[in-house]
Amino acid sequence: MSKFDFTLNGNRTTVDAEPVRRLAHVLRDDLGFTGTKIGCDAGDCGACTVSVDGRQVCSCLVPVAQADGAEVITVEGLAENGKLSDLQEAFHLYGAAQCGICTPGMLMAASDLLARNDNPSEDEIYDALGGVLCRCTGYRKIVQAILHVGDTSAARIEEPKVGEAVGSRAAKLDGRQRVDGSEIYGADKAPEDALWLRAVRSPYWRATFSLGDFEPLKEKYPGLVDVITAADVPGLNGFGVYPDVKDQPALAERFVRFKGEAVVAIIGDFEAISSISDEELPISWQEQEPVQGFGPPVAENAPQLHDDHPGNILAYGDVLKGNVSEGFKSSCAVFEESFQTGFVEHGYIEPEAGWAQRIGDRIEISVTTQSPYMDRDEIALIMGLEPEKVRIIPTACGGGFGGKLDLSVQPLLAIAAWKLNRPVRCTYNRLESMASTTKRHPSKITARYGCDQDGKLQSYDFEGDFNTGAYVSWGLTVKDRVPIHATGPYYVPNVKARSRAFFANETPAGAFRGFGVPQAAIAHDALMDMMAEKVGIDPLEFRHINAIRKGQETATGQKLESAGLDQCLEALREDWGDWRAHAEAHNQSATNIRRGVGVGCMWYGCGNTSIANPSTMHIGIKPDGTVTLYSGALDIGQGTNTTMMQAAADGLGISLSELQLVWGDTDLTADAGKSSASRQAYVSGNAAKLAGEDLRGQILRMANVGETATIEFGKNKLIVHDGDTSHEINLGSLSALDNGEVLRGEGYFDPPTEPLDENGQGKPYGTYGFAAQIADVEVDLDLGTVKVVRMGAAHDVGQSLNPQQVEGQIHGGVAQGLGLALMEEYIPGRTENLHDYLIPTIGDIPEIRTYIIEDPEPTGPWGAKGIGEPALCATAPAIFGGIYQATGVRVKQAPCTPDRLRAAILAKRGLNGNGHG
Amino acid sequence: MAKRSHVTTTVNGDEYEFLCDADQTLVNVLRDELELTGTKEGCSTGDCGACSIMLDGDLVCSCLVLGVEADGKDIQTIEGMAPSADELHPLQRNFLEINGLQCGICTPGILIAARALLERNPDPTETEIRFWLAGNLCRCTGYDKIIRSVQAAAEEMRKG
Repeated sequence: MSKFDFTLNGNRTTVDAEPVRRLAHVLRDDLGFTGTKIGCDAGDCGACTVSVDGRQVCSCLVPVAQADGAEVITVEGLAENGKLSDLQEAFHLYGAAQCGICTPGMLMAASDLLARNDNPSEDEIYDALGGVLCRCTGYRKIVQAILHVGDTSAARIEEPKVGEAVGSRAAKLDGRQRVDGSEIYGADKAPEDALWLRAVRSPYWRATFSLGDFEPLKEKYPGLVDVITAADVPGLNGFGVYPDVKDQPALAERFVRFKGEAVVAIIGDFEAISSISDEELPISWQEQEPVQGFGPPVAENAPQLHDDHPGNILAYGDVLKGNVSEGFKSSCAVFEESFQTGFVEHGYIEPEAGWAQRIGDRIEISVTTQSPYMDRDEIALIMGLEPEKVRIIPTACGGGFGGKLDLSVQPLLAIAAWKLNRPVRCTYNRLESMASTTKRHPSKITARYGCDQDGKLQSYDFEGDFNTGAYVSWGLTVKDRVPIHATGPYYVPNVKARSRAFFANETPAGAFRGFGVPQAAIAHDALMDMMAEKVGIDPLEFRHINAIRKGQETATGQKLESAGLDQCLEALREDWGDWRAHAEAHNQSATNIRRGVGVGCMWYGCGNTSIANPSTMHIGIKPDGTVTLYSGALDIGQGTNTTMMQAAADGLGISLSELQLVWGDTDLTADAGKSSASRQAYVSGNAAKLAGEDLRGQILRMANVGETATIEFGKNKLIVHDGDTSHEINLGSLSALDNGEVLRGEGYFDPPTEPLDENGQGKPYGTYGFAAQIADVEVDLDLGTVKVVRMGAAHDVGQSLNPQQVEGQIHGGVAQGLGLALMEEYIPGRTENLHDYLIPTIGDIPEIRTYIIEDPEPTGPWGAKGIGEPALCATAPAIFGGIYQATGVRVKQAPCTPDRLRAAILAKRGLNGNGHG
Repeated sequence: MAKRSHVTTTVNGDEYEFLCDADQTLVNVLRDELELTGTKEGCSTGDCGACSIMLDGDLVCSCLVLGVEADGKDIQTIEGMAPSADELHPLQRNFLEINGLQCGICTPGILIAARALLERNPDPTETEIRFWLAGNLCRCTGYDKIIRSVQAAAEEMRKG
């Protein structure tokens, strides 16, 4: 140990540390400055960016000895005397922080730039921030914020009047703590005496194993307190997202089905658990040949992963409408093609993290999650406890996108903290986060589409295989969602769609923004382009002709009451025409750099498929007049804390600033379901609105006044104004409820759905979101590289609860869609960290023109529908359409990496991969 | 001026003490402070493997390790590979006999890496040798004779 002195945010600081201890760990663990985040601990993500002597550095790469004598500034040093800096203010007002986990790093990189250059160009911003990854925002609002530092008047809005919160661009109510470094995420806080836990994982894709004696290891490492195994699971050693499917063990028993599966967990002081190498553990392995990929798992006599799933088939999903062969007979343009996509990683910048403690006969878990109530119920089963004995206290969530719906650290922490009766914490490192948590389902789709000579769609025949990996996770949802959405957002009289989900010895595939719909969209929209070309109709007009409209029936026979796709296409028509013409003109004289513009369309059912998925919200008033919304709808960066408050405030008739928020904690909030399936705005938004209206109704009845009365919320009292008369309600005189409140409103909403019959006919969702996107791309024919130059995105959201947040979702979805299209594929052994697994950086995301279309949904709150997943699904098809105009190559495999595109360009010219005939 | 750290290590069995800067790499210390120039620096960024050494039993690029990180650890470099002044390690001898080296600049790193392989796996397949040595670049030999040299040494060492 040596002593090091440096200035930290202006204060002289001395630490005793090993010289090579990294600055990020010194800041966070030794000095308590947890505003600096660690996303990868390898210099790839930039979340840990701080300033050392005026230069931005990844603090996870800097030994503390190198900071000796230096001036170090972290995010906590940006605000002065509690006042946000101009840069922080701009980030806050422009919506540049969504989940907020990358924000400290972004702010420090931007500070470095602005110190050198107070009027940077967009390109200079790309250069300076190129080392910091963001997975939520699509970077556009970050760029806007930096361009407007010190001049934020355009983004500053007045506090909305009472009743006008919904639809306003209110900045995030929890935005301040996301820009000043004070927000607490999964890895940021745990009791001083918490032990550390590390999972030891299978090094094989398929193997049996046996465990030996752990005592010698404990003797060798006195800091090792305990080792937990499957034998320590008090209840059911299985979890899974469906109430009746619990196939994934918390800790494997004798057999592992994928590389990265947790086998045992070691618990002790940090030093001990990080020095023990996996090879030192007494685990003897017998490796077996794994079954992987698309063919082998479903081949005859393939080794089976699960006893109850012969042939490794999880399930089939079917939708049948009309008669497809008749439909193809009446078609003049028919195309059949096959398409393939790979595993895609969520790439949230916050790895899984949390801590647990036992309180008497209860277990409490603070954790980063998208689904507190589902976590609670799953942990209860694993622990053999009643659900009420489990408390989930969500921390801020540094990005989820579906990947934090399934359990990760929760069961290990609960088992260990329960057994040892001590607080236990765990933070996944990036490698284990990527190796052990779910991915997007790889898909292999063969589809056939036909239209008549007027371009009207006649028939669609679809078969899709989806690799769900080693465990079910969300495989059943994907197999249901895909055939329902298979046609794309078009009216098609004859449909036959079948999906199949199968198991393989691979990383489990689960929920990732779209549940299979983005994969299906790549197929249907490529075929749309091919038919349009054959019948000589412009691709956008072809989609406009076929766009499913209000009153028409979907493939499942559901009559739509809100369907704004035609309006989305109309919003894009002008840019489409201009951009296409520009690309064509450019290509007349271009040599190797060609342009192309493509269009993609999507739809997405909001909420869980054909099952009850209700949300409940409460608003309570305390005797002192405090009004609080209790929301279990998790804000994972998308802004739900803000939009739920807007809905509740307008339902109740109170100004936004007078309403308090309690969120997430399962002891304090009711079940508002999962932050997934684009359901929170629609389902929980309704519940928040109804809770407000219920409370308002109670107050009006108490005052015996009519609907038009207004409520004034005062200290210890309410004043109800009805025309010229006023009624005062003294809150202290009301009898208190169990929780100390005197008035409490409740809102409950379950989207109206019906089960699907054996032909997939029924009403699977309460409503659907729609979108059309266009992409203008530049392709280097020699290199096979694709640069997206600009995008247009028009989204029918029914009613925008908060346009600022809706735009943020669109930008972020486009960025993830661009990644899916061009660069992202998780390949174990090759792309298993954020260095080799490429996600879009700030320089990859072009200008995005957004158009918010509002075709109101009658059952939505003020007409609102979801936007989370719709934002992503149309992007890859639009980019692929652009690549076709530029090169004549139809992209059939995502990601369309330079090597694949170059090979396709050469094949089209009749050349082999070497450029020779 | 940042302070220099005092570091104690064992190199090829001998105890060494040195002072180094916080940002000084181990390859720098070996070559400039300890004058053990057998370890070569080809890229300084962990790409070429010329600086490969053993650090507490792990094969590492010494250009990616800081000098201070060697504190209390055991280092083995090419200078410690031959058992004596008159006798070469079987790997060294076979590299000479089979022409597993040309210019020789990558050779120290490759020998260290190859020895680490044979200690773990006395009978590697050609594929295993190629995978193991993939972190060491050679621009002269085309690798074929390197593989043959490692195979020959492995066979000799197995016979003991």
